[in-house]
Amino acid sequence: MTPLLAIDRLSVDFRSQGRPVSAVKNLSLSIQPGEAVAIVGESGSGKSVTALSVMRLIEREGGIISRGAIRLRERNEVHDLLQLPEAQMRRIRGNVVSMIFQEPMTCLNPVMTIGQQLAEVLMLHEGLARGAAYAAAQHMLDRVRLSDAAGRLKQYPHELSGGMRQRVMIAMALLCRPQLLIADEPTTALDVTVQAQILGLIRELQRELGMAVLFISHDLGVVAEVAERVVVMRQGESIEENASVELYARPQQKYTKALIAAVPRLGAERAPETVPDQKPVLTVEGLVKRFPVRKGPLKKLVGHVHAVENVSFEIRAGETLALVGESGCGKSTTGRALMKLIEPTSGSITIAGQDVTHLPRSAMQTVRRNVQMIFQDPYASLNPRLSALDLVTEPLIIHEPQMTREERRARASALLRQVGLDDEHLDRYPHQFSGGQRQRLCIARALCLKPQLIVADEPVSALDVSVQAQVLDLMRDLQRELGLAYLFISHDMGVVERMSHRVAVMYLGQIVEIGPAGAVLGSPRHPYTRRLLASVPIPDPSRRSRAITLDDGELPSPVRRLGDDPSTPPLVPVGPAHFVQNSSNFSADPYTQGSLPQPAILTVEQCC
Amino acid sequence: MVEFLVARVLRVVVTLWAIISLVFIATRLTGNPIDFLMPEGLDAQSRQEMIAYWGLDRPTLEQYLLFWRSLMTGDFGLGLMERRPVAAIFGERLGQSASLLLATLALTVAVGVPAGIAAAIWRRSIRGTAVLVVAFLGYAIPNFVLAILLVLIFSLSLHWLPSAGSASLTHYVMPTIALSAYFVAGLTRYTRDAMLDVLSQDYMRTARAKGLSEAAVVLRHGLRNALIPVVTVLGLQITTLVSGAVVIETVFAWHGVGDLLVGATLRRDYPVLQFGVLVVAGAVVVVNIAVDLAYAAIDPRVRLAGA
Repeated sequence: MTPLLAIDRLSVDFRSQGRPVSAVKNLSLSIQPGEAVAIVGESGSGKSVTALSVMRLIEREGGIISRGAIRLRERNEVHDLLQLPEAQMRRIRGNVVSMIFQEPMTCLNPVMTIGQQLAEVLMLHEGLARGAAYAAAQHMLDRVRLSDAAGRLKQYPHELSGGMRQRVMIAMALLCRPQLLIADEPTTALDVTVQAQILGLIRELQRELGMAVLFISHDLGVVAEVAERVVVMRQGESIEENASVELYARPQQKYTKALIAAVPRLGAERAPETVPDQKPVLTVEGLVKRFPVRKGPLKKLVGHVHAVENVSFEIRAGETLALVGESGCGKSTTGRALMKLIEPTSGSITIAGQDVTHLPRSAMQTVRRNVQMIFQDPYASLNPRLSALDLVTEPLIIHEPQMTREERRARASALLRQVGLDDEHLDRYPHQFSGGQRQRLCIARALCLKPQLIVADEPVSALDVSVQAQVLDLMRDLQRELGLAYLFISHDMGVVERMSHRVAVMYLGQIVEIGPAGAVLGSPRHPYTRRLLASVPIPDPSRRSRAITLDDGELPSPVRRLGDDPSTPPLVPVGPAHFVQNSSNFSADPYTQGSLPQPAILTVEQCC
Repeated sequence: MVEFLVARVLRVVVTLWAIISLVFIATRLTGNPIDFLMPEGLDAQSRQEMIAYWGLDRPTLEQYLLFWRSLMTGDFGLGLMERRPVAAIFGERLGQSASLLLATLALTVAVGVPAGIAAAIWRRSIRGTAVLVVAFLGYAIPNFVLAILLVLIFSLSLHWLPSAGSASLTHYVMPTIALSAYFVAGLTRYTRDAMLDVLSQDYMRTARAKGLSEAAVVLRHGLRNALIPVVTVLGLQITTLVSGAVVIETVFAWHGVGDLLVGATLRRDYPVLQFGVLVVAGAVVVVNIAVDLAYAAIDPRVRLAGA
């Protein structure tokens, strides 16, 4: 049978300072009708360039298709997309071949309603009248399980959550029942439970509509969930291709093996050995942070965003406590409150035996020596105009002004070696480092003052898997050597398992479960923890059979009216050092099927 | 929406009060109008009588309160020079100025926005550069120089267009072009920048992936997004337009408000000046509210709250 899509020896170049740099080299790949094929690779492997070449949108991004053919079969005709005139190509886009993108937050036009954006596709390709197009659009929104489809048509993208917007993108792509759907990292920007929902949806729709899917991802876990066949790309070339069960079980290439080995997988990793009893470096008690919601000309206080509600935990020297949860659960706010980057509303924070809750700004300076922070984005958190030397030793200028430049240079070179960089890197600037190296620089900077505690807010989520593994190993080595305590904030359960001794799960600003990593991840007791763990993609296609039972609920909002304060049910012990929020007095919650506290589900608009 | 308007109007009242009071104080700090009004060598007694007649001998605070009382009753006083009600003096000129400003605004938008879009789309070709060069010239030439050049060419050499007055539509051609050149140039550049920013947005790629034609992508998906920053600039431009009009009105003997205000300032004609500032301030305030409303109309993320 002729394939639906056949990419034949495709090469794509980009021009960089006058010289061609090849992004895709001699790539061949074919997709049968109804088949789900994935291209996997790390950043720069050419996977997105390939996808955009099929759409012939790569020329707009500056790419030059230098060689090859892309043959698409449409009924009994075969077109070479690379030879097709633009007008013909426009008929194919969004009609025969559709595409969804990574960033649902920015991929929808902010000034057009959902209805306008959906209907225009049908009016364009199927010549429907406005009314018929809206009706069809509404029907498609129902099919992607978006609640209140009729109302959604009148809404604007900013009124929808990320998961809802990705559903709209999918609906938009499927309106004309395409033969091929290209999904470029469609779940990378989403929370793990939403990711599971979206992956389940794509799989179901693929079956229902009999369309082929070309899935582009860096995440082998996600790929294992959806693809029947996998192509591994590296530096623009396809280096291995196989049925996915076969590929995961018996990878042939060294690179593929390394890639699969680098994927953090739940249950496969032994949690780090326990730490000897030490004095707590950090004790947090009853921490609360509320942000006021104001409205009207007099800015009347009408409610609060309950970002952190009554959170208590401690971390001992040499220990890693992971704070996990989905976006908006308050994990980053907690991290910031510890550093007093934001002022806590109430509660107490004790760092190295000193109560810092009410410490004035000036006195915090000395406390911050003991606590340092590593941020998510190593690109944004390094000043591009400072050299590595200056970046790493800047804290010394503040805290140890008596040091000479030579002494600082010596310290910087020691620090760089400690994080696996060399002396030769000292005088380089951030843009001369790779992502992983930059995060190493951030770690060196955090280590500069010899802190006891490091707050690491999603330190590896911006990095490729193989680099991720290296950075995590470095952090663990440093912990062993220096007896560091980590507060490790992450949404990635696999990474958390690899790193942490203890895990605290946050939901709507509260810790709902806390305990040893093995216990919390191995035998979760709270319904939310279970839901979170069930959503984690497993990088093993043979175990895909587990039923996806996730409903399509939306995460409730932490915005509440004045006076309507949430209650914090007490944590009760369920095992050694393992505590769970008492769920017996929870009322029904559509989000977790009747087991989580039911907050007033309000958006800021509704609240006020 | 209603709440927004009420809150804005309240703020406008405060703003206008502050502006009027400032003008009242500032003009009285600079000298006595009688010295301009009366011939030189006026004897002391007549001078005193004149001062008393105009009420300029009373305490400043009393003058200020009197001034407000008449403002409230709709009496804006007599112009010191023309001895006619201020409202009447303005009545004759306001329409003249307003029609020139509207014509200029229309031309600015009609040329500036398309030119900006074109410059953005042609950013890598010689055509885009050409648009920018022309825009740069418009930015660089002072409006009165352009005005005089136009008069030299089209009135004195070619005899195509009238050089002064405002009797017919042909009278509008040169003043409108001279006044709008600078603003067209500015708007072109802002529109280009805004459009360039929009062209690289993810939703534009989505629109292309739908199979839309390039014209639909740029005009339907891009333009409305690009207009958001452009509207702000346009609002600011309208306020500078008023000052630009002063010069152009003089060159083309256009009997408008600008020309009136210049004269009133030089002669310390308080009533005219005060009313003039009130008119200009009121216009600026109205433009600002219009910009906010336009924002909300273009960008659904903007909610018109009282805040």
